[in-house]
Amino acid sequence: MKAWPENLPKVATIISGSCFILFLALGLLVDRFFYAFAVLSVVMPDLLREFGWLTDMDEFQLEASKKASHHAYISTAVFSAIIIGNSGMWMSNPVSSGEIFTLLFVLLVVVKYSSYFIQFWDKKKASFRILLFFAIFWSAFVLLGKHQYIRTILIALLAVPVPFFVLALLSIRFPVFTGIVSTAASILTVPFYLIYFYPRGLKSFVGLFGSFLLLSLPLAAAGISLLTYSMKNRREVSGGKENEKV
Amino acid sequence: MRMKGKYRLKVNLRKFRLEHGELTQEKLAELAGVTRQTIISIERGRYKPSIELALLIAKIFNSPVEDIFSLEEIEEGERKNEGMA
Repeated sequence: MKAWPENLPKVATIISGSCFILFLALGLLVDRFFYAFAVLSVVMPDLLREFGWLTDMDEFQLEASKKASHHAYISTAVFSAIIIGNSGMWMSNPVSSGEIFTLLFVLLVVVKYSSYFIQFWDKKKASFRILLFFAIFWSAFVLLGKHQYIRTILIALLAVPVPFFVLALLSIRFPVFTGIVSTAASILTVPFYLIYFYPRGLKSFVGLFGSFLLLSLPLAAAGISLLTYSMKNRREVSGGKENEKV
Repeated sequence: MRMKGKYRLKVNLRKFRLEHGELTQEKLAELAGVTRQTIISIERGRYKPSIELALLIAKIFNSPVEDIFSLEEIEEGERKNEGMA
């Protein structure tokens, strides 16, 4: 039997993803109780691997997965501490526990998979795939949203998904330039939230941090890894030239 | 005496692959029971294999493990540069 292609997601990932969507739909349509199963579906493959009952990863993949989980748990712990410590910020504008739960869950998943991709693949390839994934994600978000006018949809597409697509394509040929632009954009989005959205009351605390997680964080992850890739590449090239001289 | 930090792992895997009938990364990965990405990462020095995998790779090439994986002393200047990087 031919081995499962490396470029495709693993069978366990496909099953857990399908279960996640199914339980999420049941949670939305039937009872919120099913959300617990949706979360369980996402963490189940990792738990099975931890106990040694699922052996679909080699040692390098397992190490990358464990490191990525470590990064995800640290980020979630720090973020939880920030939320609890600054509860006064959002207590005046009550936030449901469901919203907080969604934020923490999104943070865990975004950090875990971004970190895994950057470690497992070549940094340049991983950055391209992260940018492309979020371009598709934001496109779907815009297209499935309840917009009445085509003009609104076009403006929304031009605002976020198109720049992600452009950065993904540029990262192939111009990693340094894309790295600088992505990192700068991720930093610039933070004051933009605070100056534009927050005083206008357009975004709640949860909406603000939600956008930060799905916009600034992937840009920062892709940008920093592209810059690291370029610096390492430059060092290797100059090292090679030195050796040639010798 | 503290030895760690004075040496780095030198990997001759690519050279060995090419010398042994141009063995592809994919074929070597299949023989070792790992992914091609793991072989790529070992060759580029991004991942240090376990003793078990290193011995298995050596067995595939029928060569002593230290011919493929060896320790190389880091020069003082280089160590400073690595520390800064």
